[in-house]
Amino acid sequence: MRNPRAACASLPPAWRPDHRFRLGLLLLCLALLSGLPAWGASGEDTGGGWYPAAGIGYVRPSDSEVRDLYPGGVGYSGAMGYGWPGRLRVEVRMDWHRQSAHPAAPLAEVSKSQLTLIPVTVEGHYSITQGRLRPYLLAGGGVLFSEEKFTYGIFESTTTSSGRRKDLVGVVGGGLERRASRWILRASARAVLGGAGRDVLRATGRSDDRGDGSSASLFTFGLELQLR
Amino acid sequence: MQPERRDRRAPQFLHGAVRPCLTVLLLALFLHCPAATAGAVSDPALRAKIQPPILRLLEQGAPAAGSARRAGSPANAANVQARSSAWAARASEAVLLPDGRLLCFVTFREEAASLDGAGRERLLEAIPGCEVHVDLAAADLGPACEVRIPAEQIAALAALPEVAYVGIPPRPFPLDVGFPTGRPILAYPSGGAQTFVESEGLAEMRVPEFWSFGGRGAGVRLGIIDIGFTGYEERLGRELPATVHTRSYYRSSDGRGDFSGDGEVHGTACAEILHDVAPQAELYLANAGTPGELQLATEWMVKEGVEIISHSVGWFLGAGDGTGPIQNIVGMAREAGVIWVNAAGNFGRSHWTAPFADSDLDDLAELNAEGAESLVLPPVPANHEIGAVLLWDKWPFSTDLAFELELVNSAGDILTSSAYDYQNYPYAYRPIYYRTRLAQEGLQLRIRHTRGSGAVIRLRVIRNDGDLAEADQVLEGSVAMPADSPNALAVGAFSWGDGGLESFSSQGPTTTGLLKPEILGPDGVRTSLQQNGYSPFYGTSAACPHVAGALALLFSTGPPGAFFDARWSIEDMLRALRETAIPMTPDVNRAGTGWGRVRLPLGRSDFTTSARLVALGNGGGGPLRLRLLDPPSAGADLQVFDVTGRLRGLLHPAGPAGAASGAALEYDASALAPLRLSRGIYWAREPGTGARVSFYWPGLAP
Repeated sequence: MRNPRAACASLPPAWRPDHRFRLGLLLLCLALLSGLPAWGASGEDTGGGWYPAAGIGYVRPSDSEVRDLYPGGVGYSGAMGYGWPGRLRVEVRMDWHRQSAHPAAPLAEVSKSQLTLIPVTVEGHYSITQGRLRPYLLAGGGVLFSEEKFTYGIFESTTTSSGRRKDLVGVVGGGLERRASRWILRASARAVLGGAGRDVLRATGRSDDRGDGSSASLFTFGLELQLR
Repeated sequence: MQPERRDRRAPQFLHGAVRPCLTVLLLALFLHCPAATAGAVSDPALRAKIQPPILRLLEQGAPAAGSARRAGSPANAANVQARSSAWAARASEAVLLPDGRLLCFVTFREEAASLDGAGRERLLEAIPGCEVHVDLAAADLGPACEVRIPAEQIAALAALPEVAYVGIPPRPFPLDVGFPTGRPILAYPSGGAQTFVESEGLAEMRVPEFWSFGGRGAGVRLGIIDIGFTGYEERLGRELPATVHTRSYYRSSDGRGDFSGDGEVHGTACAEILHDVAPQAELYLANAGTPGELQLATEWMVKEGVEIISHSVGWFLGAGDGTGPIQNIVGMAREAGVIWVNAAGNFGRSHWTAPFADSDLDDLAELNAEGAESLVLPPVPANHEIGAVLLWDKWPFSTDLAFELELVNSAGDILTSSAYDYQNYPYAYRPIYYRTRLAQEGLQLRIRHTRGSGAVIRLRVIRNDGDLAEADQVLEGSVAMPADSPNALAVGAFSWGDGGLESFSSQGPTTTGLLKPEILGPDGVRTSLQQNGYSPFYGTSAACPHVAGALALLFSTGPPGAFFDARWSIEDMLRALRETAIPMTPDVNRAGTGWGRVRLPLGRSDFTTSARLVALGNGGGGPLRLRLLDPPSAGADLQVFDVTGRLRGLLHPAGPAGAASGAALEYDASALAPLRLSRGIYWAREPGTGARVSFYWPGLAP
């Protein structure tokens, strides 16, 4: 059997698992395990309709340059969806993730930054099976709003500036849901795939595009609770 | 009887004589026929509105498109000795565009002041073939436009009642010393192995150490606006980045003009230095030949996100107080967040200024306290082109006040005068040039007052081919434009070899007291042009890109983010340069050296602001006191500067600080009250140790 460590080492750096990645996988496995008793049981399938959902999870930027500064952390999600009887539902979803860092700036007396990521997506979910425990696939698209704030200082003055971006993103992923009469518990993994870019942010607030740069892609792993 | 022999010689004679006479007569009629010489203007009223070089060009007949002919000056010979005066000569030439049209500027009468830019454009473009090149209103050249117009339509343009004057646009002036013109740029290099040439100034500035510490300017966008970039393509990937962004607004409003600027290498040399200092910065290069073209080039760079513009060029436009059309363009760039770095000028030995005086009312200005009415030039060699410019501080228009600059010989004969080509010119700008055949002594410059009241007017003469006599040199206020702008960082020159201030490096203060130059950069450095026989690069032209490159390196040390790279503010970066510059002189008058020689910091500890001089009670209530620790003497005074670097006063010690503080002196800042300083930030500095601290002065109590 191939050594898992060696297998991981052969992956591109962006894909090598770290402890947070492992945590996400663990969450997914727990969700699977929690559904084992219901595996194969026919799930209740009420008529379609609107529903809310909320969740918590782990957000991990895919670009290693972004991860060097913002390795990833907790994210929150909220969604509003509409499900049809059967296998299909559509959701409008918003995630929120924020992380802080201390970028290296050799002349700075103070150097702090904060990244906020808010993907807003429309996703279609398709249940592969019908039962109490259902794996599903998801796909969609939307916009990733990001804001990066800097607080940095040299001499006696401190400058605060922030830049905002909007990137079109596509979403693919899948998950497993455990259905109950009044709720659905979902464990999902998503890849939010966006473009790349890098801007220069001047102290006046002006932002200039510098073309190629960091990718706005993310991986998210989460647990969501959907009310029926 | 023999038949009478007819004398056939008479008809043959007539036949032989009449034909050539008729031919000559017809030719003469043709040449003098106004309609036959396209565009020639005979109406005196119209002629008075058109600058003479343009009239001469019209009378000679506009050549075909693509012709290199110019009017109004002797042809520029290759390898002229005086680089700068040759440029002055070309400044007095009518500008012929590649498509055969003329490039002129047009000013409008006061009655037409209500016309906006669109109105001026409609008015001018109603003339067949006339096209507005740039509207100059934004540059504060008064209501004026630069236009491209066929020669035959000049009369129609001048005939418009709204038009006041049709003239040659003012030209820029490269601030190098000793670059010859006309020498061709050979392929790089000409035979032999390719050698990467690096400026010696880098070691002086600690650039190699900074690369290890803070990077090489990656991601910073640097711009150079110059007169020409001949030879740049051969240097891409070696002396220059592999890719540069270029636009030429030289004779073009769409950016596709002549990037060589008629064979100028000056910009190429400046670009090499920039690349030496900040090799990973992105370079944007543009050339321009008129104020309007400079405006277009600047707008392009601002739009492209350029962060620093290096301009090793001077313009003789403005009142000498930091205002004027080029200064307005600099201000526009600064408002857009671009820092403008300008060469200070090389006129330290060739500048004269004084208020206008004519006590004997002979219309010749008195140029010194003894009442001399001329500036006697040092001996001039043979085949030498003398160039000089007269300016006065009436801006933007000086139609009601005029002076002319004359070059006279020792016998008082006028050899040339700006009146020949610039009479009625609406701006306070009068260049002359003159080529000597033989070596001459006793040549003199004099200023003739020709129109209006000259009261309270300051005159300036700048000789751009050599020095004035030592007794006539006025170092103060010799800074070039737009280096005199408060929005420009003016760069003087020091010799990289011995660290000394170059004697030609221009100085302030400006007429409003601005300290200029702020900083010094190295000159006399190598460029790859030396492999083509050029001399080392001297002048504030060489110093300027060193400082611009240093700023690029500093800018790139801002905190890097994930999707954004934050930049320091311009004020912080200027302060970083100020803190780390090596002061040249410890005394008060820093008019020529500013903060000192440029040097890059290698850490925060390199900033000289130290805890040795502290401000107490500042911002926290209570009286403002300054405390100097370990003073060099019991009576050490503090100098107080405003943010422009102007010395505002001295603080004397109030007495020793308390015993608990050890050896220290205290200063009571309320002693500054009699100076009536306005509210704001000031700097206190102890000149012996260089210790300095900023403090907030709250202004006077109501």
